[in-house]
Amino acid sequence: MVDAPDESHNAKGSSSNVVTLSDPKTSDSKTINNLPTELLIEIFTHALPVRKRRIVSRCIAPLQLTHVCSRWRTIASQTTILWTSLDLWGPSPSYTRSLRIPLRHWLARASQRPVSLRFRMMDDSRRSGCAYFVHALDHVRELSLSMCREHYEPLFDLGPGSMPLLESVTLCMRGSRRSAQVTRQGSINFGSCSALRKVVLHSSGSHVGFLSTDMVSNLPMEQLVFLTVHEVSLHPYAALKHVVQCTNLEECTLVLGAYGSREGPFPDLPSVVLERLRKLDITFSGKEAGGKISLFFQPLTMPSLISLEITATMSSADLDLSSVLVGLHTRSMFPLRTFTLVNISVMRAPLRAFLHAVPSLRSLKLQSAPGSNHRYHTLFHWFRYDPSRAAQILPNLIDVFICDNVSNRFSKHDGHAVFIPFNLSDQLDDHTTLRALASRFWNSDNGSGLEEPGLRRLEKATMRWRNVPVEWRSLARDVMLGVEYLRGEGLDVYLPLEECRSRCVARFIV
Amino acid sequence: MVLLVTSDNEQFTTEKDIVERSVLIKNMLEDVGESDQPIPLPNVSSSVLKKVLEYCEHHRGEPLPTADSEQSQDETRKRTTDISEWDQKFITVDQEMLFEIILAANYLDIKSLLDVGCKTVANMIKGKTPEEIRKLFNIVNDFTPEEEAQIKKENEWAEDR
Repeated sequence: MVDAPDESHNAKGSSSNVVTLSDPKTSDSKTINNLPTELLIEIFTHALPVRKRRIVSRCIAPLQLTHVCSRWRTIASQTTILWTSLDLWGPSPSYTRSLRIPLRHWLARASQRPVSLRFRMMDDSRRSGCAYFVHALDHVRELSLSMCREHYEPLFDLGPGSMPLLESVTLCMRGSRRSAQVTRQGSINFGSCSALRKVVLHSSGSHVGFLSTDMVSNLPMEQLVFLTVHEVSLHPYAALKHVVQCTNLEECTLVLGAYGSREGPFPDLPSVVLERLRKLDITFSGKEAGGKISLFFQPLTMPSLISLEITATMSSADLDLSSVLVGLHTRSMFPLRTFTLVNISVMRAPLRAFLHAVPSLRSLKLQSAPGSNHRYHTLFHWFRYDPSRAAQILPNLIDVFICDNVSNRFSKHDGHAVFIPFNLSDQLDDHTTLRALASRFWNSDNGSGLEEPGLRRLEKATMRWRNVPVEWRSLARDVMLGVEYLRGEGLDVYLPLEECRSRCVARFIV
Repeated sequence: MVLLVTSDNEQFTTEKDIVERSVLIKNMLEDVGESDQPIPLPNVSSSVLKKVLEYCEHHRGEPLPTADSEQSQDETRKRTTDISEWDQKFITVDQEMLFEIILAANYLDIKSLLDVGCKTVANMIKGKTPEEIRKLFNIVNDFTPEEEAQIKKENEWAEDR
């Protein structure tokens, strides 16, 4: 049987306000208003939008329901669960005027139920965004805000314990100079937010930052499960000082600045075991032969890590990184499944040692920094399926993505790169890599490969070449047509399935 | 076998594991024990019971929601309006039958059928203007002009799309 979601606001209990129901037993014809209140509540609850919307509309529940008739209005207004989510994320200018009263009404209808509030305010608004709902934060469970710095200032007045139900907070601050304008110093105090588990702090541009400018304080780091910090103004060491406190973290995404190649080592931090961390995704603002990230990992041990992604936004050379990763694995012995390294030049030998040490790996993405040929593909020479070997290397790998740049060492004729269509793999030096990849597409139905217990078949492999000489552009069509044929020397021979052959492609991005 | 008697005095003989999808009937059978006594269903007509039994027969053997799983899935359940293909076809009936099925599912305590019915009505409501909803369900607009003006003013901040 259906019960009203909130007994204290059960429309049954205020039936004097409700249009009289026909008796279901005696009515000849059943209409929607023959349904008892608790069933209408059930229908209204299902009528709420499934996905978060960017606007509040008069044609969308719950507001829509209050316009139909007086019975629906009474029931909808008194059903607190209908009013527990408010999304004002759209860029509509109408939201920046006369919001105080509508917001008060909405939140009052939610009564004491925990609410989810998403609010975005344009930079040019004169009113202060948080002032509209600061009175209701004591029963906000999920808070998402996107505003300029100035509009956050009413939150500076909150004392610790002002958001006791808060479980998830997302704060976004845009990076324009107008957004970054400081009219008042202070910070948002998350002290005593004992339910807080998820924090997302996102500030774009180098002018603004929640952590780098201490605009948030007393975040209960030790209880966080999900942490995302997108602050390019934040130095990796400053970020690390926060991360080492997050001993219950399960997923962490960081977009940070980098430390320069001339900076000395980080000041000592105590070693910490992040026992539950399963996913770590770090992007740092690498600059040509500049930014580094390897020191970030030195105090960390992460025994549960299954996904590690390290990305430089531009180009980076961090020659210590692969050795640091070897050390990280030696300490952690994590069961890594996904490893991604993008735009960072690293030493190949320790990287190979690292890959060798993680047989659990299923997905590998290596993308070299733009500009030069890192010969990442040569890592895979030893990766070939070899039935005579007792144990295969990376036996669980099912997805490989390798992206490198065409070498500048092409023979030139009259100052132009020469494209020799029947010799492309020789020029790219990828014969052995492609053969190694192709050997992993083995199929038990075909004589070219035997089913090997404990070895997974490769499901997808992509070799992507960038930095294709400009002279090839006019030949792009021919190249694209010819690639399969040219690569066929390496691939067609070994791939048993048409399906696999079509997936193992070389792609030219001109 | 179980004998059911509808409000219009029609008798339906059906298998126990089919009718036990109704928590009400399941509890009655447990209370009564082994008996040939017919079970009266004074709130369900024969045409509606026929549909209900069709639903129960199609879903026989599927696990019944427990109190715990019901509570934990409550929010998710309410936030999705997905209805399986068979259920959609089953519930494609005229409005009167649809509301009868919802009332019967509520009376017989068949949670999954109640969900299908309520989600179907909710899907009919979604994206429609109040005027379109009134027209669809034949609801009288009983607001006074003053109330209409008040509501309009109260919600003018919201979008009309």
